[in-house]
Amino acid sequence: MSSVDQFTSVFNAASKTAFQFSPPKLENILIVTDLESDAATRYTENAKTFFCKTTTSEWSTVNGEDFKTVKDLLELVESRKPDLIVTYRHLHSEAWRWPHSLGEHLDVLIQVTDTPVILTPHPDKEGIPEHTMKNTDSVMAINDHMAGEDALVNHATLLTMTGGTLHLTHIEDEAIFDRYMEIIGKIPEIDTETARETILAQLLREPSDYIDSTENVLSEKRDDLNIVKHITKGNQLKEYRRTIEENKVDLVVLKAHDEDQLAMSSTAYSLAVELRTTPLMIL
Amino acid sequence: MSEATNSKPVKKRHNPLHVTIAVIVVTITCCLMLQQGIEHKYVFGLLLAITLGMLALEKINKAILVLVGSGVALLLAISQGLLKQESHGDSAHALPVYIEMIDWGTIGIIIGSTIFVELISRSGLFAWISVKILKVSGGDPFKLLICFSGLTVVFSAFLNNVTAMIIVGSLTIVACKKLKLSAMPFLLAEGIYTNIGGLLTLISSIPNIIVGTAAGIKYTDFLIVAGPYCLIAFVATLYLVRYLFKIKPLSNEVEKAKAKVMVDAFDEWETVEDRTFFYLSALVLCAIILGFALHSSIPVLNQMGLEVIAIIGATVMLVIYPTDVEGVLNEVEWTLVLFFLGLFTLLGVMEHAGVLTMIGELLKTPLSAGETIGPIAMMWSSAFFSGLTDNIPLAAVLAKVLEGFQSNIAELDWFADYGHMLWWSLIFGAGLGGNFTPIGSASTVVAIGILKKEGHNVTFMQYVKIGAIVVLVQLTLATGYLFGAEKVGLIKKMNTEKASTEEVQGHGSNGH
Repeated sequence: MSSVDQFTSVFNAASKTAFQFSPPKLENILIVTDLESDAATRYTENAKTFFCKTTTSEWSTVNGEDFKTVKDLLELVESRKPDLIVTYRHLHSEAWRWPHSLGEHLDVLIQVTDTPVILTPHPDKEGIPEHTMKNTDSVMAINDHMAGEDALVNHATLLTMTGGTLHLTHIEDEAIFDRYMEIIGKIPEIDTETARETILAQLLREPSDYIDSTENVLSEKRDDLNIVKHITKGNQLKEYRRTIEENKVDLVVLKAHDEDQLAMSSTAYSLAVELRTTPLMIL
Repeated sequence: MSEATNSKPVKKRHNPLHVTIAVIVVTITCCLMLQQGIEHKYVFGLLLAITLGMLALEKINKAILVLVGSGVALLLAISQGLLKQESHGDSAHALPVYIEMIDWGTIGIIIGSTIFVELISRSGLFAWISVKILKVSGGDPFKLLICFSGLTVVFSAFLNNVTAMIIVGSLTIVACKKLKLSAMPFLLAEGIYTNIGGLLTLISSIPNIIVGTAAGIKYTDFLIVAGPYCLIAFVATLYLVRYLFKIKPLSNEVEKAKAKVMVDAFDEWETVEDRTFFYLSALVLCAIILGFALHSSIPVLNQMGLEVIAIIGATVMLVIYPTDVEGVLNEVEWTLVLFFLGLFTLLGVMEHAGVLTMIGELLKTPLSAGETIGPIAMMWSSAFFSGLTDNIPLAAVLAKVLEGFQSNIAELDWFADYGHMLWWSLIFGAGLGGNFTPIGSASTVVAIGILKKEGHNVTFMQYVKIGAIVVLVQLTLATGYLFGAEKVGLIKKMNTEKASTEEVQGHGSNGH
């Protein structure tokens, strides 16, 4: 312990990211459908049932006749200025039958707007689990780098019904980790085994500490919640899917915006495309 | 403990051929001069000047340079019959004359303190204290300046200045990044504060150890004189730095709350791996500090030097923490140890060759110019030269010169009148002068190195513009303080007879 680098590492490790409770206001919720009036009303009622135990907001619905193009939809959202948009994949399209994209409307809308978007299963989708769209008893927040994601956790907290379970999940990407370890294994100056153990421990420790901090804060602000942390290393998509299914998650909250790119962040996009039977909230 | 000689964080490489040629040329020149009948004091004086000049240039590793210089001096002195093996018992157990020249007390303190400081660092105690202090600041920039500066002073009073700078500087970088503040004013202030902390106790810096022990100043007496000044300089420098860098406290309650949340998120226990070791280290550190403070009142130990406290502390820590003993011992500043072995030998030869007496004669005129001018001349000139080069050889040479005056005190009325002020002037001047330039003290070099790593380049002149103001203020305060302290009786005339006796008892291994 005699160099600046050693002490800087010690202090960096001591510098934790603390969770700050700041619940968002979701007073004005906009439901966007491509359905006709009756079907749109049914969809709206379903959505209200889903969220009734967590929000007392103003609801408004957009029918299929209200917009056709992406431009129309963007203008509509801009004029209504909602706090939350509830919709589903492949608006004005039949492509929802093929699980390979979100559809042009949502691809653009999610990136252009700062308003959180909830994607529910398509109204015509079959094989949806029993618990889906009933309530928000089990909500999961997930991120590639959980530490510091206050907005994500605050939204997930708000949407978890009283007495529900809030899952905070961080899966460290095994493929990336193994790639770095492979490179470290080729550098004689770095002890590979020590690097493997210490780097993995530190990678998992940061989200763990953040979740602990979240638990401490929420024990005061939302003591009704049961908080469960899921932190591990593995194939992100597989692990997230497994955790979501095992815990019968009603709503997954994830972050899609990546400041360094115009498209959705890769993990969020993969999950948004593939998790077609679980409602997702995309920030 | 401070003023390590590793003032350059970047390793320097000298050209072996150039060094060999230089050594041969210097040796031959000295031999020829001696053959020409030139007086020893001039020839050896030239050798000392060359060695100290090369030291100031910092082109060659200091330990290598001083060992080469002392080796040449030793060989020339023996060949000229200046050094004779003194007889201590049978020849098999007689100590070579150059061994007797070395101040083993200083060497013991360096080795002992490096070991216990390294082990206490490993316990996480210093980092734990640093984070606790950071939290006290609440993240407010001005309070942060007060807390980091206070921490630097305390750490540098008990640790190596460089170690203190590394610990506080590392935390400064991390905290400033988190609080989105510029680290530059804080790091430069910390570099300045290490020199204030280095003045606090007898063992806070190597010039203090060398000059203080040579003057026969006790640990507690040193603290009583230097403590109030450090407090005055602390406050004055604080406001000076605040003014120079325009550091303002947070006025907005929201910003204050935000900053507090950020610093409160630091977990001090994250720096500690083993709590048992942590608590034991804290206990040993307290015992060591008490040991230094109460050394002169502890039976048996008071018959030995302060180094015994450092070595006992190191031994206890090694017993507590038997893991990686070799790694810990490798942390001993061997460069510094070898540098001192060479320096003490070099000065020992110079003493025998009459060089120190000659320097004393040269300095006699300004130093004996009066009870006001003498101490001022000593303080300000030693500060000036300390700002330009390493203050350790300067302090060592001047301490030897003052020792020479002290041994002739019966004939030197002026030294009997205000010799005590000259000792203190040397301590203050050598201690404070390092702030003058960015190369004046090892801790400032570290601070600027950290800033450079973080992308802030501080040029020589940029630093001098700040350092010169700080040094001027601190020296003015020190000058006024020393005369004031003498008037109120804090600084007393030394009973040289008593001081010498205590010194011999207290530093049995001291070669003075």
